[in-house]
Amino acid sequence: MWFKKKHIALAVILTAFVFLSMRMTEFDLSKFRDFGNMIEFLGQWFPMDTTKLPLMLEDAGETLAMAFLGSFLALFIALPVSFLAAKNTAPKGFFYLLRTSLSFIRSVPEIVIGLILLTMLGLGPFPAVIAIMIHNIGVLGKLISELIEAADPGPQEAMRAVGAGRWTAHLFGILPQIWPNVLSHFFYRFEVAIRTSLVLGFIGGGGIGQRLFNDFKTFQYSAVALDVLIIMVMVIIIDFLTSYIRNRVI
Amino acid sequence: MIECKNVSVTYPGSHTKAIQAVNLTFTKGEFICVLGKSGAGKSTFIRCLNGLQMPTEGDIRLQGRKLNSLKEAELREIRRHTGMIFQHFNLIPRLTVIQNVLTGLFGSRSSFKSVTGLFTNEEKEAANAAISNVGLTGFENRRVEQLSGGQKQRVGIARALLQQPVVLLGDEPVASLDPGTANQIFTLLRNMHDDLGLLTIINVHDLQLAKKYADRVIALREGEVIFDGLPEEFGDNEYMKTYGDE
Repeated sequence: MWFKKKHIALAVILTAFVFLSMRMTEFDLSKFRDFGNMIEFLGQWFPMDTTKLPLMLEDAGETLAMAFLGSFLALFIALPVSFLAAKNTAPKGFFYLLRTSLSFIRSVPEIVIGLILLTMLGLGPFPAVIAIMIHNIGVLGKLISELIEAADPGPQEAMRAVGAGRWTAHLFGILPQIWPNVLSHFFYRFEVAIRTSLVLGFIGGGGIGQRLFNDFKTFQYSAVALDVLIIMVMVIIIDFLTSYIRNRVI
Repeated sequence: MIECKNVSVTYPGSHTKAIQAVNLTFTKGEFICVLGKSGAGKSTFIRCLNGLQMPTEGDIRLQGRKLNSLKEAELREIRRHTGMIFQHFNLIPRLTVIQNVLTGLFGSRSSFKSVTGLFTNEEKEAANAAISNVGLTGFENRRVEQLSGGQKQRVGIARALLQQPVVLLGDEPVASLDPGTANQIFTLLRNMHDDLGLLTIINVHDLQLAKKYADRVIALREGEVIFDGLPEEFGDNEYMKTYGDE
């Protein structure tokens, strides 16, 4: 009744992909035999070393600043760009050019942009901010221009009918209705940017990510434990905060 | 005041004409209801009268000016004095009643002045007067999402009123409202029409409303004008021709 021939074929294909992927990734659960070592290793993480707590908190703040600045600057640039990259608002010829540029920007991972910029601009959080910003212009530009295209045409029509100029009509006819979703996308990208800035720290981009990486590489596992704890608390707090703001706005 | 000569509209990708060879003249002071089934071309027709839809054939003259050949700025000038109300009200969400009403001034202001929201005290007073005219005093700072359908349409009417319109167009303005509210809205429109000496052209489904309020009734069927005359001349025969299955 529910299962047709094509479903069976699909199941066979999926099973084949699962096994193929396991071969390619050396997926082997018997490697967990030495699980005891892991517990012993994690034992070295405790008790936590709190001597460098103030420095760690400062670095966590730096990570937040990187993530916020990178994603906010991206929003600031992506918002007007989106109107030039949406089918219903773009001036003739702009649409394909900008959409293609945005997907090109998006296709370059932040870490690659980061590696290039760190070589050019030197170590530290500044190149990381730029890397996060560039990537997020691509992401937010695409997401927001899709919101613009899906916006209810009614208010835009009303604005044209009162004789408003083209851009005034776009702005008033579209922005208020997509605003909650724009904020949602921004907050989500902000949260992603926090994780990205941790990874960018590994390659010398500063912040708590860089500290975590250095502590790990110098076998100071009791400090690593506290770094990880700080990161977890930070992410949870931001998660609460952004959903609170989102609820207030909608 | 508005003159349509042989106006036809064909939408891209469609073989049939949404409206065909419409010849009509409207003069100041007329309150006109346009009847017809869904898909008869009422909406297309009314949208031609302020250039939201351009005719693919024929000419429309507004106050002596040919619509098809107007530049963007001239078209804005026409629209500035043409109020329009809609079935789904088309208000700006998240904005308050007075903010929505003030957007009625966007036709006569620069983009900078519109976007920054720097309105003079006279403009704000005019907006408050329009709000009180439609009976929404006390609701000025409510967000429009919080209003009922009838109240939303009143905001739409106040927005049109602030344009100091010469012509008022309505595209099924009461189709989403209950009969009682629809009557109230029509009473309001009729009073406004009489006070300001407008030319009012409104699409309606409801024959009773048209008969009660209009000076002149036009019926469309498959894009063609099949009746143009006084409401009392529109009898059972005309009703069948307009709405019948044949």
